[in-house]
Amino acid sequence: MTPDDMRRDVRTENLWKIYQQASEEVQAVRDVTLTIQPGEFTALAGPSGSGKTTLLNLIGGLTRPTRGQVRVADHELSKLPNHVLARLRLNQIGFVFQAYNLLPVLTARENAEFPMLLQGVSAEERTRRVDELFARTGMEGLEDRRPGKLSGGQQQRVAVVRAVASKPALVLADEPTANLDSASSDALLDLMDELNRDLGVTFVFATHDERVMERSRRLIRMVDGRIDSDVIRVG
Amino acid sequence: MARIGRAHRLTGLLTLGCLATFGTASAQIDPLEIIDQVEQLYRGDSSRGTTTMQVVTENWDREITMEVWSLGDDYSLVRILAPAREAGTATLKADQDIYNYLPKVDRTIKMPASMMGGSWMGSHFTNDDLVQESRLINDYDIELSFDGDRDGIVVWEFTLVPKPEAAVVWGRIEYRVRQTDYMPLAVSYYDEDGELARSMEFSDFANMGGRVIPRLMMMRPADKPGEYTSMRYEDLEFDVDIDESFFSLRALQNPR
Amino acid sequence: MMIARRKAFQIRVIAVLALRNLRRQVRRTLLTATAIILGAGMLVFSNAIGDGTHEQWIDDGVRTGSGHATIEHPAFRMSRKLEDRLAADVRAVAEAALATPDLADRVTGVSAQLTISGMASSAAGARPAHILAVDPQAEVDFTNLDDQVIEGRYLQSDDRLAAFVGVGLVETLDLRLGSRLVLTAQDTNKEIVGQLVRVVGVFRNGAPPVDNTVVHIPLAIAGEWLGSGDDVSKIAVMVEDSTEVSSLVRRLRQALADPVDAGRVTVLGWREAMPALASLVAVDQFGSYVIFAILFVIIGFGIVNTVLMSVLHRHREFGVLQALGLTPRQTGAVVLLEGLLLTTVSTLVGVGLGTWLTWYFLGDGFDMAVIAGDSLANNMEMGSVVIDPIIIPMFSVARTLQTIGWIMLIGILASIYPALRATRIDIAESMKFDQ
Repeated sequence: MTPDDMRRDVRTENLWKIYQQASEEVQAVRDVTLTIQPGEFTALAGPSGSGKTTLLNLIGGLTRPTRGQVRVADHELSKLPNHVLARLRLNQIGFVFQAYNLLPVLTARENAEFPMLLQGVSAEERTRRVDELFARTGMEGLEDRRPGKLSGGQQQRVAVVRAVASKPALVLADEPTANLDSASSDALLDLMDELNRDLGVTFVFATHDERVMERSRRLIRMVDGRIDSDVIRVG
Repeated sequence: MARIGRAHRLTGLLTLGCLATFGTASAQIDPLEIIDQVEQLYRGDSSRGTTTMQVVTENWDREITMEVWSLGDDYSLVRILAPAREAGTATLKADQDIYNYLPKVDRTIKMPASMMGGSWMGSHFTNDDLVQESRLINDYDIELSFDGDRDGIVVWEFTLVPKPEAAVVWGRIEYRVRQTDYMPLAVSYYDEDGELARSMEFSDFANMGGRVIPRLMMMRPADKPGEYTSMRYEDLEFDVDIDESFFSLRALQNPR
Repeated sequence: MMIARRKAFQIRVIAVLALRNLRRQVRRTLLTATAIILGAGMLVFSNAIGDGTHEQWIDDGVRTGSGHATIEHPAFRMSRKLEDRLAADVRAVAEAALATPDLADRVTGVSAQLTISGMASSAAGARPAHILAVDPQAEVDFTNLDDQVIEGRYLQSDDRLAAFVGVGLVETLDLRLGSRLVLTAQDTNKEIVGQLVRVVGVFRNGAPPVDNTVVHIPLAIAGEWLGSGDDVSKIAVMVEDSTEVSSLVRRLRQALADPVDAGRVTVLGWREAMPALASLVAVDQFGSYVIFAILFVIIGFGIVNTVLMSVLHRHREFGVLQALGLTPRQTGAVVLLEGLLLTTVSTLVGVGLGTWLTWYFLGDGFDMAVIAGDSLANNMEMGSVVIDPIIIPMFSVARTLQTIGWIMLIGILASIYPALRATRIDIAESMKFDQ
């Protein structure tokens, strides 16, 4: 185990994100201080515009804070240059987005293998991990399909497989169920729940989907860029 | 070395020299000697004269009055007196070279060899006609072809055929001479096919400056019917007091 | 091990992405590829035609007198006078140099000639003439006028009072075979002297300045006429093609170093000897370059369009790539590689096409009249050079590499901007769902 693995928690301290929209200043994230422990299954909830996506992006290093700090795996993100941030995302963070997650020119398998390929994982290992995860997600037989030939639910499952196959410390999912019917949503949530429990992967969702909130074990509600409530649910 | 013998010389006219004194026609005619003597008409010491040249072509005609100075074969100077527009324009012939002086632009132009074929002052004479100095007797074999009466005048007619390598363009020249005083009457130039190329006529014989000469010379190109160039002497004097220095480029540019 | 593999994998990922992206946009890719292929093909072919044309002009000009290189008195170029002719000893050195094996192998023709400005006259009149006194035997290999005989024949070595005359002069002086022709010029004593020659042959070159003034006569008779003996005004040297000229000139200058330094002789390449032709070639070349530049701009815009459009349309995709861990630079590399792949493959195909076309026309030549129409069906004349409407294209490896290099450069330049755009994507912005 590397020291990175020992500090796999996510911390934000007095985090602010302010940006200009038209002539108005938007305070998307306001003074958020938060710690997410390894293995948590956390939902960031709130109406649209509450700042949950921005917070997720800040944690994922996709956007830079105006003030404050984000620490992921003991790295202070705001101090890292872009290419190091990219490396950090590659090795520590998996992403699942609302839609159009997959690279259209790659097959399901190639999409799933993509981060591992960048990491330099050997072919056998990649095949082993993807085969296993595809089996778990019911995606067997669809490995060679391009995203255009997959349903929305199937695409999101590939995205989840891709997010976890590279063994990140943290998976960030932004409205992963937004475009799915309830059956697909449930299946996807089952999958993530399972992976969280079996592999200990930390999941953070930004969502306003009640079902996601239901399934989360920690629910952070955001209003106007601030944390309104933070409830750890047991059971 | 071959000399050019293209036409009957204009040089001759510009170089009016002393007339040879003629003996009476002997019974035994020597064509070579007669032609040489006629040619002598245009060879001599120094002269000064005024001539009027008239050029008539299909498209235009013009008349130029000019003063002509000459010294021997090698030197002549022609300066236009009229029309006023061209007055001062001058041509100098010194040895083998021809220079043109244009007072309007104050320029002297030396005529290159390649321009010698060009027309001299718009006439039917070429620049080349001015400089050539060949003697017909050197370039041609001469035979008497007629001896008798033509239009009431007793004449000799000679046929001149170029020697094999003579640098002359004519295929044949017909030369008519008045027997009484060895005056030239007409010269016709033929090409190799026997076609007439051009002809010259001499007339208006008169005593000028103490010598009898043809005052009027007419040149007609055969291929342009109706065109001609004529030269008429208005006055003429011989043995004027000039030397070679008179025919300098300075003299060309600065008339005395 | 892991790191090396990671690098290799990453490069592979970039390559695969670039390749697949090109394949995904088949229509756009094909359109741009076609533009590049046609552009490159046209470039190669028109370069070959242009170079072939110029080579033909040069060959024509060279054969009309000056040679690819000419050895002459330094003052001759300006004066054109008989007195500025080559001294006998200098000529001997020059001819010895030309006879050395390394030069003799390359030289395809040598013409020692006396150039005389004078007048040609007949009973019908007189015209300025450019008289070239030559050794008939050597000149046959050199001049192309002997291929343009329309009546009679070219000079022969036993000719004496013979002249080979341009058709224009023949017409104005009313000449025919056997006609008297009197040439007049200044001799070595600066006296104007005439020489009778007879027409043995008539040529039609097509260029009025040549047809109307040029007269070839045997050198021997010129020496007799002008008192110049065996002297010549220049020695014109011809080689296989114009690319060898500079080394020929250098070599001759070396061999003639002493007299050159003494100001007694000068060696000129055809560009210096025929500045009008040189500028004609340069102007024509410049014209081609302008067209090429326009072509390059079109190709460039084609590439920019294809690649930039693909970047703009794939904003989100590039966001995903970077979110997944591709660095900005690697993202740019994907784009750059797309442009490069497109350019490289298309250029090679285009160059292949152009080379094939060139090769196809190499044998019989390319008939410009087909393009230019009937007006060019016969000879064209430009300056004092006659242009044969049949052009034999000239293929050159250097030229082709140059073409490939240029288009590749354009391809790289045209891909840089879109690539930069790709590196500067705001990931969070690109991921917004409403985009």
